[in-house]
Amino acid sequence: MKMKYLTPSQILVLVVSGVLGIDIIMVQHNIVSIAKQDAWISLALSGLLVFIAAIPIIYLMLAYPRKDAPQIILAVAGKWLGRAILIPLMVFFIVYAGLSARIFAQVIRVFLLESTPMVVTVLFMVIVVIYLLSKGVYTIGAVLDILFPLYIITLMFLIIISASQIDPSNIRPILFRNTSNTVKAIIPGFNHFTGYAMVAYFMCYTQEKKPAIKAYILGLGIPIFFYVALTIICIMVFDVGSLGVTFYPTLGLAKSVGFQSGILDRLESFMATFFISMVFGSMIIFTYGSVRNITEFFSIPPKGEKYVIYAHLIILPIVAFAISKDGDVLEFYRNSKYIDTFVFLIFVPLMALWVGIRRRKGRPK
Amino acid sequence: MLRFLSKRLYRKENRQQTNSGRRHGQDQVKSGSNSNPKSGQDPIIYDQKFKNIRLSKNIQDNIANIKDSMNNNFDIKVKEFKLGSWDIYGVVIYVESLANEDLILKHVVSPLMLCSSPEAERGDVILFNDIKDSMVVADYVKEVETLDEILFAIMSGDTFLCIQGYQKGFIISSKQYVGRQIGEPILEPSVRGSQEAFSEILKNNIGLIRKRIRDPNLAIETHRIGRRSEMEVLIVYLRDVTNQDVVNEATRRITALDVDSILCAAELGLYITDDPNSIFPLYQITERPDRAVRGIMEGRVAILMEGGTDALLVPVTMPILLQSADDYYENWFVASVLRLIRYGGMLVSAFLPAIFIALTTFHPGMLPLKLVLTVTGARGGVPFPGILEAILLLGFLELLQEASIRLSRVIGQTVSIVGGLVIGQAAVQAGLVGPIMIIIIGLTAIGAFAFTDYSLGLATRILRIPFMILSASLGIFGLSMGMLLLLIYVASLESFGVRYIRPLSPYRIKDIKETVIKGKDLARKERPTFLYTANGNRQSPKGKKGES
Amino acid sequence: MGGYKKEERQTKVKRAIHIMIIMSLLLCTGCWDKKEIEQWGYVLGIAVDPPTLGKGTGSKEGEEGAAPAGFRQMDISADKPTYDMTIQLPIIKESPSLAASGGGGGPESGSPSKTWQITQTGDTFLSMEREIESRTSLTLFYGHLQVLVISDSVARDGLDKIADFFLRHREIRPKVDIYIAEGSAKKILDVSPKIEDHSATYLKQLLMNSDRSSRIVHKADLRATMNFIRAGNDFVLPKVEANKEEIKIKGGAIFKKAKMVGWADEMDIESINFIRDLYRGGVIVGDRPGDEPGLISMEVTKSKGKIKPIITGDQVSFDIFIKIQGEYDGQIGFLSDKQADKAYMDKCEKEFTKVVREQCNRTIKKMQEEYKADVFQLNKILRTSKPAYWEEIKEDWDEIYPDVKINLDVEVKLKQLGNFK
Repeated sequence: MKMKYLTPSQILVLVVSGVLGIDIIMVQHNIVSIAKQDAWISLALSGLLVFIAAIPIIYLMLAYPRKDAPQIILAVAGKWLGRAILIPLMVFFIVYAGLSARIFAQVIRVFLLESTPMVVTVLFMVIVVIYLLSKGVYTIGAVLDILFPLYIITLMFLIIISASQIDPSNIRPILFRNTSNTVKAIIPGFNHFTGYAMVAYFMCYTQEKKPAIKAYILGLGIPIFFYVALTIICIMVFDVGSLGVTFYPTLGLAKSVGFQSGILDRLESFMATFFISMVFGSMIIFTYGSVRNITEFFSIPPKGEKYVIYAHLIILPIVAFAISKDGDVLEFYRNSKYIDTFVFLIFVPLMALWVGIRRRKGRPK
Repeated sequence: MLRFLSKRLYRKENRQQTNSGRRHGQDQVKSGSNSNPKSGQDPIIYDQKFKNIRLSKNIQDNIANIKDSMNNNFDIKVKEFKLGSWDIYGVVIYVESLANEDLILKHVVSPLMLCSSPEAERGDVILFNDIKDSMVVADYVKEVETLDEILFAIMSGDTFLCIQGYQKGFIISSKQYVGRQIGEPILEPSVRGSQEAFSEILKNNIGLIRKRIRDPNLAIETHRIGRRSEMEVLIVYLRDVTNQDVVNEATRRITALDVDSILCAAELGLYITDDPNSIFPLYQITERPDRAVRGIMEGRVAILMEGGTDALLVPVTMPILLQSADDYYENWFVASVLRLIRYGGMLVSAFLPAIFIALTTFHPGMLPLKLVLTVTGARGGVPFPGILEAILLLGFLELLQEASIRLSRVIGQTVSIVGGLVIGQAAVQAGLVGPIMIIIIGLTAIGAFAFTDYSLGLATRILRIPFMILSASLGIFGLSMGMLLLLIYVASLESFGVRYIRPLSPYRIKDIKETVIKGKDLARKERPTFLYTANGNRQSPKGKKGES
Repeated sequence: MGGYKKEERQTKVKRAIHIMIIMSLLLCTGCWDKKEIEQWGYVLGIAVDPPTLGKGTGSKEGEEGAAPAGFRQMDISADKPTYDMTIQLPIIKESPSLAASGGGGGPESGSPSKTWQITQTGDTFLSMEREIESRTSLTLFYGHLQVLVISDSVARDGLDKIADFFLRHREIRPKVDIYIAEGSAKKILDVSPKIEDHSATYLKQLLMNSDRSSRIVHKADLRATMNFIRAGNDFVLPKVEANKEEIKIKGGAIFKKAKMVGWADEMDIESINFIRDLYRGGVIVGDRPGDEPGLISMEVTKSKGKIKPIITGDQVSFDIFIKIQGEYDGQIGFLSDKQADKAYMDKCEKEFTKVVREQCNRTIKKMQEEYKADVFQLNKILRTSKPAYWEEIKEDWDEIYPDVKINLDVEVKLKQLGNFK
């Protein structure tokens, strides 16, 4: 009677929520500082790279249809090597979830609550995340399912209403003496797609694999679209010079777009409110991943998983406040992503290759 | 709290022993249970003690025995008579207030008294079976021997007939409960369609359903609950449509109950709900037979019970609770818009005061300048902070609502006029509350009235306060985190194995057309899939009759 | 039974979690940012002037009940104050029904001022802001800031010097309009308008008519200005003049690299709007075709301006195309007795073309020769469409610009005739 599996549409939602986290409010600033007005090209190329990087993941997911990511890693790489690969992931996921909360608390501080201590906002977010985690995978799927249209509509709305403010000439010249910078920005751009692999934690709960894989690929397209579209619009509205000094251009965009609705003014606070659910979405997915990682790493029986969940109630705030300066947090967050990129661009394809070789060898016998 | 807790655990404990569930089946008369697991506690009155007492051949002994067991209450009628021309005495015993006296005298006593058969002429002794087969005219006549069955039958309104010289007797059906006839729906009025409502008499209620479903597959299972009240509970569903898991689950939960008495279906719902802590109703209570029938037709299970004007429908999801009977009598587009308005009403009712407080006390920048200036001007000299102002007004509103429900309709009107106009106006003039807050709270109240489900309305009324506190402490951030918490909570609820927010998640357009909005009537060919019905088709999938 | 016990333990754990959540929620109940809506002071307009006190002038004339100089002057560590900042706060009356029902004071005599202008002299804007807060019972809130009026002497010193505070401020929105006032900027905020309650909202609303007259500089908000300054472009900002009850947008202030260099009249603004394709509507007036006296006018419904750089060798020149469509609007000085036939319309079109070309040419000449300000933003066009060439001449653009050849091509079409022939 119960829904004992996730539907393909839920997989799509999980993929999109995993990728579109806190990054959507910072991606333009980070990439524009490297690639100038061609940042959107870099992002589109990183998007392509994401699709390529997704191939080994899909292969592994199909090879082990009833296992989630840490189980696959342990199964493929073995007990010890697998754990060695899991360590950076474990660290990264906790850092990602914790810093997401921290950075978003900073955003809240700028746009919504000026003098409320960040401890409160971070704690509150973490509590809600833990509460959802304790309700299990299917509830996660359901909650994100309902939040999903909310932030897609928000982003579309932002893109549409800022269309009146654009100055198309800002984006030109395209690729003029800037190709090397554009190429240089691909990997940092790719870093902003962290979370594209998170689907490996949920794929084992689907019933039919084929539509789920399709949903996954489609789901990867959505964040790429939003990244590129928002970057183009931000460049057109702000010009490269202003964008280089704005930390959160997406919210800045909302701030500078005059939206006279008659009921609600000050779009950026409004947007920040809606982004809460978006950041929440990626946080929940990464925290879930972290719980799974730790559970598998220490081979904790399923019964003990909930204690791992509750442990995050303490771990995440500690990570969030480990660094005291706001600017350092952003820097550290940016750099921490190389861990994830490293694992998923190098180890995972190697693992897929290994599985492939083993299978081919196994077949003739 | 503790009592509540122990009750819950107690119930859980009972659920463990489903196998020994008492009194099964469609047999109206108790077949008797073999063992009472808790004989040390409150004994179950018809069990054990009377089980071994058998009838004697002497009817005077029997009469004394029965009257004794029933404390010689005044409304127990014992009528002795002589059978026709034989020199044999018989007796009927029944409860005056439950049985149809007329029927007993006309169709039981008088045929027996007046019988003059050839056998009597010949001097033969009347055969016991002849009474059952050819003399008594009644729904059913059943032979009994032990006192427990007899007592139970008498207490439910049936008549006991006993003939001198036999160690057996008859139970003759003669129930006629006093109670209202069919009334009008009070909580769920509708503009069009049926204006009937369930009444307290189960037989009428099942008739209201039966007359709408002329399908032999309509299954009605009977159970009895309440150790002392022994009231009938009916589980009604379509055998070839409804998911058998739901039926089994409902049966399991009902038969596992072991309480003194449950008085009506609304109370029963609290005992068989999935999560007794949930403020959201996890079952649908309806007083409209047409709604109940629609639920049964969707593949859900209706639970009817003696004594209340309600029927329970399980499983239920939140979108289903927001449907109204009128939706089905209007054009699909109009009905869809109306349903969406109801969703809006729910949001307004639960969140509007909280949003207003968050915007005015934390984020004046989010309101346009003119509105800010107006609101500021209107708040003028109000001495309280916004949250206190709102809570004061809300408290007043709730008080008013509670008062007008308890009062008779005539006085109730006065209360609402006095409350709404006089006090509200005076409060504004005295500068205790601002006029804009009055508007906000008024809108909130109106939003709550848009609900078709009373319990859901109550839930949102309760929710307002915590949301207001959240937004008064953390502004719109607190409010949206609170909304997330609520969403998580609602998403984790289940009603008889069906998630409470289906079909909002996972999306399925056809289900959404079926529940959240209303699809074109001819296009609504399927039953909601989240009910996992055995037969999902509502209309022929091909099209209209005659088309192909 | 074992199952039952497990279930009980689980509920206990669950309950513990619930209690923890509720407890922490209670702890969260802090109200750090809480402030009732009437406790905020909504800053509607800011005027920036050069310091008046430093020169020892005392309170300015025309200022009724001005605060004593000691109030306005703040103690600063630097030698002399750098700016005068004036903010406008609305004075919010209780709503009429409240006042009438005897809540507070009754109807006041005369027409009380609906705004309060507070002037502060100081070195940085943030410190001035806080200093003002020590003089009011309200917390200043900039989220509803409508306009920023800057005195020309501050503007001549460079907008980039003061812009940072307004950009960085978390409440001020980048769509705030900037105006340049000749002389005192405070005077503009002191206006008590006839219809609107506050001069700042009045000023903001003035731009609403920019689709009816393109002699107004529109698109002059803080964000656009900052983008220009950051990109090193030249631009114009609207100039405002005021008397006691009225404000008028009169022409514009010409900025060269964030520094104001002079004034442009309304015709210049119109020309700039034509050329930069910002024209949203307006009227063109020309002489009646033929020898007879009289004026004809047209209303522009659509205007398209296009600038095309042409590079020949290492010389650059620009072709500017202006395509105007409009409606024959009428005439003055004579009554149309004959039919407005095609020939007449052609003549009119020619006349309008001539008028626009002359007007634009005059402006181009003025900008190139008098101010040397690239307000048409030719450099941006060059940068975006001829990046290679731009890289070469980037450094020398200031010298090249005054002598750049600009060819103007105007085309006017009368599409509609209006009501009469």
